[in-house]
Amino acid sequence: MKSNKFLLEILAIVLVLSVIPALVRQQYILHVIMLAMIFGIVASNWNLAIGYGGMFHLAQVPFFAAGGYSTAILSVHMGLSPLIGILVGGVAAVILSLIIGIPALRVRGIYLVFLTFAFHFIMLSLVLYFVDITGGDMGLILEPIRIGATNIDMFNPVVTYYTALSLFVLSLVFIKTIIDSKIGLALVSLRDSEVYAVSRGINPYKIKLVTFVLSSFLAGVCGAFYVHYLRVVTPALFDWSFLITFLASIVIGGVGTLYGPLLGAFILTFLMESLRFLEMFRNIVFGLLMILILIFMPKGLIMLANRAQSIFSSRQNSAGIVDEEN
Amino acid sequence: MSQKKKPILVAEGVSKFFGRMAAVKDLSFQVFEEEIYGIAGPNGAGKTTLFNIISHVLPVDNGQIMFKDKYIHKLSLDSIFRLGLARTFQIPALFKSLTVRQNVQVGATFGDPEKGVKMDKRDMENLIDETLDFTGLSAKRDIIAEELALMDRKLLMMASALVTKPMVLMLDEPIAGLGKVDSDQVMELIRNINKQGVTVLLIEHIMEALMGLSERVMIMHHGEKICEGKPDKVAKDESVIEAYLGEEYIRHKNQ
Repeated sequence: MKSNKFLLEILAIVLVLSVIPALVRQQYILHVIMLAMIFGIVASNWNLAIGYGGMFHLAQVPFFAAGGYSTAILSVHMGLSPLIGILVGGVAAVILSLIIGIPALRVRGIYLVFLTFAFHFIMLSLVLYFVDITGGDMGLILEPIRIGATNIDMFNPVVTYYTALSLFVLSLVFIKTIIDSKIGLALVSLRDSEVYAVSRGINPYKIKLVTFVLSSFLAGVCGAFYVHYLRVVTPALFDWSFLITFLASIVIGGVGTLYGPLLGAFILTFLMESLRFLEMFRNIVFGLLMILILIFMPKGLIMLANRAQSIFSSRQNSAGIVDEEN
Repeated sequence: MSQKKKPILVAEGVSKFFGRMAAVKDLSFQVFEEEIYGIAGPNGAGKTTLFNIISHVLPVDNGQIMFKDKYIHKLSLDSIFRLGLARTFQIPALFKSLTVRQNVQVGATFGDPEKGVKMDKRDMENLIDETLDFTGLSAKRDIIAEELALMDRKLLMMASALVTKPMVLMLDEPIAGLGKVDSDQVMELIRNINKQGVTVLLIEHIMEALMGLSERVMIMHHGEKICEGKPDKVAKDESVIEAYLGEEYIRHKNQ
């Protein structure tokens, strides 16, 4: 019954998101929704580690950037097709996650934060150093890709939108599968009480490493997709704004929930776009909003949806009881 | 009687230091198969530290620990548990955001109940259900663990260990803090666990419970063993009375 509910939720999401391009003609809106989907995927995969596993790390932006840079480099220097390039982005992120995870996950807490943060700067330095490969400060520009001999751009807005939607659904199923698996059970156990979890047979290092690697794959895929979509890769991929967007999506939406980070990413992306007129004050308003949500809704905005649902179902229940009594 | 049984857990000269202070000092003892072995002593005697070094929550500084003819003092906490040496904690630990059933499921999934043989899903579900029945938690199976009262938390911690069919169960103050009715129920449960062939190591402050349950008792003081034997004998031992009553007793005696 539980999986039926999930199937219905997925169908509803696919239905709503796939009719939008038919109803909304402004390309700009589609662009914003697409960004929201991509950022939502990266955030919700990060949430596997932060929210479900309680291991706070800062490697998600490096994963995203590794996906972007690997696909751009192979595409520019070796003419790799974007479809394979997107997969390569995921693989690059997985390799990076092993390089970071094997040493870094032996420590926890603030040490894990610092260690993973160090990799952020190591990667950025490497990108800036190997100018011949990465284009340094200037970055790399990707050529548009035509489908066969036609003049249709492979990354035209409609194709891009539905590719992002496919990734979005794939990510949801992927995360739900992990949460419902043995790994998910172990992750939550480790978050709730690490010593107790280990005393019940869980190998913490193994579970953390597996989760770290799993949650890097789609971040890399999204980084690759994003770069192909923008047709440019620059060190801006390591920008603070990505870190803040992903993290804020998790916090605002709901830490350790399936839909929270996705909801958070949509709210944030739309908010950021609609607050553009505030210019430099935008980040201040944004920061205030995060503080307010943390104070008044520490479990995130997704709690509002859950509460509405429980009120609705409790009404149904009480109605049911009345019916029976009558 | 129990002396004829084989030792299942043997500590040889184990010590644990915190800085220069020895929390456990050159301690040796044997626990025999299927007995209930009680450990008592005044606060700070090193009882919980002893549990922590046996289960490897803390590494042992000196000495060796043998479980079923195998040295375990270099193994990790999770692998010791999978071998069949399970423990509970003095302050009830639990996976607060999981349901009661899921809490037990963690033990069943990661604790290797069939010792190397993979269980199929149906068997595991049955095993979890049986364990919930055995510990009296069946009615609360779907409650989120955070909402449980102290008694149920203690039972749940025992259930998540029992589900792995341990050979030795180490209980750290399973009765402390409970009322009369609840403590009787837990004592009955400990007897039933033991009847199923599980060796029990029991730390308990409540002497009535400890002496009533245990076949043999060890009294610790300042990290050392000061007395070991049958409960009635230990209760009359001069050094034990002195350790518990301390200076006041000595002053009284000298008057």
